[in-house]
Amino acid sequence: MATSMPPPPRAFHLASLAPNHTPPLLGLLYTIFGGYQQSAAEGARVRNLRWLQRLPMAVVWGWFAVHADPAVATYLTIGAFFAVVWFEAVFVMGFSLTDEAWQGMIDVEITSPSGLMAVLFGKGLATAADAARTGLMSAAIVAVMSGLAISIPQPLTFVASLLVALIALIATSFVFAPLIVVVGGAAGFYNAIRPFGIVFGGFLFPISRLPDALQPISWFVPAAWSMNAMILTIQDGPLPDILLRWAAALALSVVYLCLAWWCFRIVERRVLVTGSSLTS
Amino acid sequence: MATADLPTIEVSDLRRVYFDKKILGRGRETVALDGISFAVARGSVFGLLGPNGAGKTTTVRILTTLLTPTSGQARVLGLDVAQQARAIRPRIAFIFGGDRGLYGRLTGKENLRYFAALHQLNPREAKRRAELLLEQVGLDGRGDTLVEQYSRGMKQRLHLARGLLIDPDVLFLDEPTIGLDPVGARDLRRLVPDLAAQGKTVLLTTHYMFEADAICDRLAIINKGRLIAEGTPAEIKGSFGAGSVLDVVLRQPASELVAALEKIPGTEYVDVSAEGPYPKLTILAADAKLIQAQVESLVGTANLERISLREPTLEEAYLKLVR
Amino acid sequence: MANLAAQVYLSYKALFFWLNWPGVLGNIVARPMLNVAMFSLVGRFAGHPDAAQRYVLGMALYSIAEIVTGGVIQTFSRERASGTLPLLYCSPASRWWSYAARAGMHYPNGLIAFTLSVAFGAIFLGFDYSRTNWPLLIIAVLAVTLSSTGYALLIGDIALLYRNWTAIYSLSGSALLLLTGVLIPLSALPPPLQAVAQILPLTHGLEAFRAAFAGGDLAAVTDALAWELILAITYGLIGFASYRWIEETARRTGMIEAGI
Repeated sequence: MATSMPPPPRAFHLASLAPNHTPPLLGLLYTIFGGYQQSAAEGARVRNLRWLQRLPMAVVWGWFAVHADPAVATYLTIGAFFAVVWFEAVFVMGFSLTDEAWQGMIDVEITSPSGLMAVLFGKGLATAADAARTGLMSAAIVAVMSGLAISIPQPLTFVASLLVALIALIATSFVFAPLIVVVGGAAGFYNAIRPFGIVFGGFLFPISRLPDALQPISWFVPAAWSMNAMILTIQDGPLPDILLRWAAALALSVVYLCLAWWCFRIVERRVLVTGSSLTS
Repeated sequence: MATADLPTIEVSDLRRVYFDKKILGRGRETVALDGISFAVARGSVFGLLGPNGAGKTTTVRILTTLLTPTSGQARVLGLDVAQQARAIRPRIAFIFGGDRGLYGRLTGKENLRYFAALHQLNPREAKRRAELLLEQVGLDGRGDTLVEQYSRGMKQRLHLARGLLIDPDVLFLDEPTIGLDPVGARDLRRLVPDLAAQGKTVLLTTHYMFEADAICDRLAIINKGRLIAEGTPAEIKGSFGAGSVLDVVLRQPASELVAALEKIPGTEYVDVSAEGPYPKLTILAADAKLIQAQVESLVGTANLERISLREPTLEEAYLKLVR
Repeated sequence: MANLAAQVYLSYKALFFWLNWPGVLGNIVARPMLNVAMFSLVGRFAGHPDAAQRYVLGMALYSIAEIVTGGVIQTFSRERASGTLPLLYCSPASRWWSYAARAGMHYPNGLIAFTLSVAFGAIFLGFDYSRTNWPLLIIAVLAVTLSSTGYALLIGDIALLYRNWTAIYSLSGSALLLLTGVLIPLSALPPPLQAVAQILPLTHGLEAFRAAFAGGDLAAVTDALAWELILAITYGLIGFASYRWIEETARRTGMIEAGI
């Protein structure tokens, strides 16, 4: 319902708008933060019950953890968190660029001095933070169903592993924002990407459990390396082995971010050169 | 850097072709702009007119760095739109208007702060500017309302505030009053000359001839990608010679009259509309006074409610040019 | 019959337009196989001895319900979103056919997903079908296809009333995943949920399906199959009554655009 008409505008006095002299790097952070705030505020006002949609799956994973040994139960509890973050992040980020296009925002965002990628990255972080809340609920369900049979022998290494895994996950899911536009076909392959990430990201079982023929696929998934580091952390494994896996996860994350950058360049070119609206 | 005596916008032989790609076979080519040229002086209001699909929006998109030209050159503030887009963007703003381009689930203030962040303004300055501009566009007190609850006119004002956040030198308005109620449209029309008075250069596209006539210093009419007229509103109106118009109000419908009137030598065209309950014919002629007697004779006294002679409007000039 | 065929095709084409070739490959081919892999491997990792048998069979059959339910619910939701509902309400078209035709094109998709899931289990997870009673397995699959359709048509009515179809789809799908024995044995559920499981599609069909895999014969699962078919008819008829009720209420309240 539209509100009543406001009073007529006054004559403009724009002299008080001082020139903007923000240093570029700080300006980039302002843009990322602005994207984060926008997405978080909008997300908080959408009542789509997405968090509720993820919880039944957590019950299933909790069921798997009921009779599992403590190491497996711990892995499943942590994995439930990451699996949910992946499920949410890849879906929302995947459609973020096309959503912006549908709302008529791309024209303004593409002319930002910070670039379209920085804008979408800020929004992606808000998505990840929102997904993390649902992920924590899921992890709590699994933990409770497993009788809180959780064991973490190296807490500091564990926290670092968590961070590496989160970075790997965000980097991977962020690629899908421009990729969905670049490859076309819109929603087409998305429903397969989500279980694909769970199977080959090693969130809920170590990738060594995959059939031999399928294992090489997971070598290219950053999350698989970070989850591998997580297993070693839970099993009190040697630090050099853990460090090696962190390095692999972070290096692959950088590769994925470069891929995202390249895809964003293609998207920008598509808008500026072909005149595409990105909505088809 | 543009100097005071250089035009703020210069368009030279600008051409834009869209390619509709196909996987198999040759794609289709659409020529949206076919070599247009014009210039816009600093601190003036320039109107681009033309029918749907004429190339107005394509021109604006090229000038706002949102589309690259196929050939030709366009410069804004002395900078090339294709080569120096990054330098142009912080100094221009565009308002495409309508319901899109704003987040409905955010408040007016939140929208402005987001757009300020896109332009790398620090959050404190963004907040200050948002409040100042909301007040100036007459939305003070509505800044905390969700935009989905705004009327079309309020959204258009918010678009304008968004455009002014970075205090641009050049403002592009693409059909800014389309879909607005008469009050909202009038308010917006009042603001445009006010911006020009503060040294901003404004380029707007519109379908409303009276709007262009009232607020534009100069106009260009584009049709099928070509520029077919350019000048002040008065020059355009006078561009079809010593033309004049007869308004003929009838008592009875007389559709067969149109063909007969069009055959009178010197008649340019005959348009049929209504004036209250009566049919109305608008006859444009090289010199309407010369054909008035013939018209009265063909219509017949019994059927003639009223006949009057006048100068053509910009709309009639436009219709003649694009037909 | 030509009218029905046209409605089956057009409701699919018009209301399910996003399913292009990447969509078919992603949703009908890859997703069901990945789901089978995911649950089977997690089950094995968690030390469930019967993981392969339980989860491959359960997820293969569930893939039919998932695809039919998702497809049918979307046809209702998009009918509302695209604003064609008033046109349908103003037309003399048979309401029964416009209701039932929505499921037609999703059967082949469901059956393809099922077949690939079963094949994936054999090729990648070492699943052994040597004892399977194939005719009985096919009957069980068809029974589940019909009961899923009835369930989907009833749930689809809700999508005419409520804008967020993904939540409806997700929650109705989750009920099948959690409560029908696809992953969690019925005996592990609390008694009230076991009672709910008896009136959900899939529960009885899955029992017959598992028996067919183990080489059982039709006589042993006649009751289960009969229950599955009774549920299919019951859900379908309740769904159709709801569909008509929504139309009548929409006319009465003047809220045709929004369902009611």
